[in-house]
Amino acid sequence: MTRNLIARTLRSRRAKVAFLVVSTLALGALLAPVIAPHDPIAQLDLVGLKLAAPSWQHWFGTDDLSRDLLSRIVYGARISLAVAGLSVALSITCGTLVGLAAGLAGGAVDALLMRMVDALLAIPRLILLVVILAFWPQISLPLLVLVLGITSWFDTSRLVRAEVLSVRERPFYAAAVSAGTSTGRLIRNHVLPNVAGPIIVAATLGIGQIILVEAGLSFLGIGIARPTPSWGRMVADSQEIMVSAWWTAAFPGLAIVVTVVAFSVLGDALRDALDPKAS
Amino acid sequence: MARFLALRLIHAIAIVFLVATLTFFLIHMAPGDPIITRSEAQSVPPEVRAQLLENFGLDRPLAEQYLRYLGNLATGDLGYSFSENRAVTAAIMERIPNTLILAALGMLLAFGIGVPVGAIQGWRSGSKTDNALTVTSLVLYSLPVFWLGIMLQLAFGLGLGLFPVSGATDPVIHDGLSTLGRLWDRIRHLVLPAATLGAVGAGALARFQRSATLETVVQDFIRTARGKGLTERLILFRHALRAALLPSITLFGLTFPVLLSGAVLVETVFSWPGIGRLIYDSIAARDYFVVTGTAIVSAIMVVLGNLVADVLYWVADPRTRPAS
Repeated sequence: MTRNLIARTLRSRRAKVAFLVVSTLALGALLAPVIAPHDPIAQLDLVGLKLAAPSWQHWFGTDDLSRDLLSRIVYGARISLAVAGLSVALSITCGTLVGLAAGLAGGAVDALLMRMVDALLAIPRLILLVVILAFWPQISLPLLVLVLGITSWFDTSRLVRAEVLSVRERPFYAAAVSAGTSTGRLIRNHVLPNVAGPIIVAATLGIGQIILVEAGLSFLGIGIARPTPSWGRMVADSQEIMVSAWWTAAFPGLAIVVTVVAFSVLGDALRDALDPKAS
Repeated sequence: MARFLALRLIHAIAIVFLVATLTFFLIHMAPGDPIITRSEAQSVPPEVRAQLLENFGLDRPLAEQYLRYLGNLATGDLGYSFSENRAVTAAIMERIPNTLILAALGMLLAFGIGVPVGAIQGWRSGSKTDNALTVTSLVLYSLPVFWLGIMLQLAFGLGLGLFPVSGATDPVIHDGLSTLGRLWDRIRHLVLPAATLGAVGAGALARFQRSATLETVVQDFIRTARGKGLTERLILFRHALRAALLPSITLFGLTFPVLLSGAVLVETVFSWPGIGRLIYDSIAARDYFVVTGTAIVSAIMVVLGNLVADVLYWVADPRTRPAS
């Protein structure tokens, strides 16, 4: 079943390329110290290598502090992927739990939880994150993951709740209930297998979206602290120097685009593979 | 209709209340207080700090602060801005028109391009055109909006010199221009920020409209229309699009918060004097009440947007009306 799903997901050439990109990125992030040609925060030569254009020595050029951009981007992949992966895991867990609770309990619990989700969705996500994070003196990786995780589960909870409600309408569920199946068993054997598909799709698409959000936060100056290389912060820092050094703005941004596109393509491919209507 | 509106209005007010409560407690979770966290205030003498805390009622118990905050909110008082030395409400009100103009134009572009493109894709799904457009909309949807803004600045502003890259008006010549000249100046300043916001939005909307159209074209009434021998054009415009456009009304409400998030970044890139740029400036200045105030105001805008979407839906789709 799982192998079959992978095969169906990677059927199109687009999905194969995306899978290759994601694997390369993950490997690159993991092996950053081996792959990166230079130390990402070392100022190589403030006189001779300040804002050096792309060359064979420095493929993506250097920034205003003479740091090697390619190395910074390779190390930046670590931050982006780690933050995105961990916060998506957290948000999917929260969203599934809340969705299950709302869908199974119904009544007042359901109404209360869903009104709360309505309120949270009414604050634009970036502004909500700014409200939470703007006044922390220093933002660490665990704090960022925690905050991104607990502000990203709202859609997932609605999705899971809707799936739970539809499962509850089906005959097999009524049969299981009337056979005296315990709630835990009902969830494990009947509800979760039916909501797993949409959750996997939401998680894959969510990784790309969280990378964008994290980059946006860094751009506003509320990401992981300097000098740790972060793609969003690199783009932000390039704004004043890009007139004379376009590469400082272009390459970190391209890194974000390529990563997000790859995750989106994989998410779409997974959705098509899981869709019983598609042949 | 009146009953429906009243219910929706109560719902909207409840949400704004919840948002205000959440914002209040979220911002109090951060360590420190608004006086300490102000960047230049590290050296504030303790007695001055105590005085400042007292002036703003920040030395009171949390519950009392919360009640006072709600009371103030009900009268439209969002607190005081340290960096602007005036009421937060005044600072926000001054900038709202700029954000609304930018967001409205961005939305117009996003819907105007995204919906037709998505409809064509859904109608001709699997074709070469569909594939090319799918990739295009996917890339647009995956672009960091601030980076796209910077690239457009580089290309069309600094490179080709076609459009100004910052502000809403020319700081030197604007006041000396004729009325028409001033309008033209404003339009030229709007082009790049609105295009940035619109491009990313169009990508998302095309994706959505494509799947909405795909779901419609397999329905029975389309087959019936074909069976009647209607032309493809008539089927598309009379039957398929009408049904497939319904979901994009809901999307009007859903895209609004996304657009406001985008506006924060776009306004920052283009120094556009709206509430997004205000947020950015108040993060740097550690201006506590401006951040909470803009969060609440943007939530009110979102809730109003949803209200409009609900009413539109009610008008467009009789099926959603409760049986009376």
